[in-house]
Amino acid sequence: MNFSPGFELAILLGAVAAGVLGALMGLGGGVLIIPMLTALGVDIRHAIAASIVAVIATSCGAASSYVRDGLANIRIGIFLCVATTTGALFGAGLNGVLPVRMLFLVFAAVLAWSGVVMYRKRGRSVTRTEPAEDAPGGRLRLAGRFYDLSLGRERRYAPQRPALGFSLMLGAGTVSGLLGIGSGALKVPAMDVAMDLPIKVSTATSNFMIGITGLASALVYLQRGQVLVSLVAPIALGVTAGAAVGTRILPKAAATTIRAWFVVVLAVVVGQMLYRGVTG
Amino acid sequence: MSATRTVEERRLRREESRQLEARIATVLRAGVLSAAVLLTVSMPWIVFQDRSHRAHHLSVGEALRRLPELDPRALAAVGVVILVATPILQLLTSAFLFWRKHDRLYLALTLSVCVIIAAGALLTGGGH
Repeated sequence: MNFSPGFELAILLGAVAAGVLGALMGLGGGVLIIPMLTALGVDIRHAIAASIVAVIATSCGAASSYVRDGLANIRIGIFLCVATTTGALFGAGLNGVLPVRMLFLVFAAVLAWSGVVMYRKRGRSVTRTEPAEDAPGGRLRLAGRFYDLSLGRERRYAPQRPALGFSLMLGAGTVSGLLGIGSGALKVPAMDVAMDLPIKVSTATSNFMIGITGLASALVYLQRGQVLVSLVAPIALGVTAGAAVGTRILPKAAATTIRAWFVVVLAVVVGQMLYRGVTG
Repeated sequence: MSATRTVEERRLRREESRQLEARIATVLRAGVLSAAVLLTVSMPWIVFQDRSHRAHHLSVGEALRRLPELDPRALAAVGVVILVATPILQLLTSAFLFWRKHDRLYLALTLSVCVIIAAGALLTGGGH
């Protein structure tokens, strides 16, 4: 690690950007933080450990606002967390058994397909038929409502195909545990495409979930002594500030804009996955 | 009469959900704010004091041991620990509130998540 005088300032500013992006897109921010830290000369193990703490900071910072405002659906979050955490445990157990390079390529293909479907869905979220006022929301009681500031009215929603969403989250958790990557990029499309949730609810609920999913990894990295105070302190602070900004933008942003930005972020993640799949 | 009761039940259920959301949001906010205060207070020391290689490679565990000396890096480490503990509190608060609401399904699901995370941390961390 080369500690130049502007090192902490650089990572603080990068972390603010990651926090804004994470809160808006339901991502942990690892997609930005890990390349930034490694570019600054930080060892990859310390970069990943710092990134996991950043995921938790983004999640807690963003979810505190989204839960209060009713954007994050707690029942959907808890229901799907059972799948992601089980999958992550299963994936960690499979580590070394499956060919990782091939998995990166398969993962890139799945994300690319999700990106295409999400792009095709642009604009649909506003015209989607909303469930009746007294819709029961099924046995799992997953239906919800939120006030959409960009539309200036309350919106109701009832998730479709919860079993499919659960299965996809199981897969997302497995991939996350196997490849050691954050699964926000998989969670949002699973909720958006499979469960047909409004994009704002998908990103807000993903924020509620990513801290819980990242918790097990964070505990392991803390135990191993890989979380460095001087590295993680400015990152956690920057990400928390960034998440506070992101949570002010999301409720007012148009769903089509969020979807378009998410597709761009997915394209970056697909590029990273392809690179790792090809180069190993 | 029955329809009125159903509407009233749904209104009450929505009100209960809002209370649940408000309490979980409070827990998350308290965790984030207290961590942010500790990190902000300790940042000037991290940036301007002791820029040695040793200080920069101090892990959270090592820094915590310096807490009795009121080392600023120990304060930052406490902030990091509070941050990591916040999702644990988020889950425990959710479980407690589901239990109080007699929502057995979501109490069971929340506790399942807690058990899976604990098992994951023990199994993966145990090997190192």
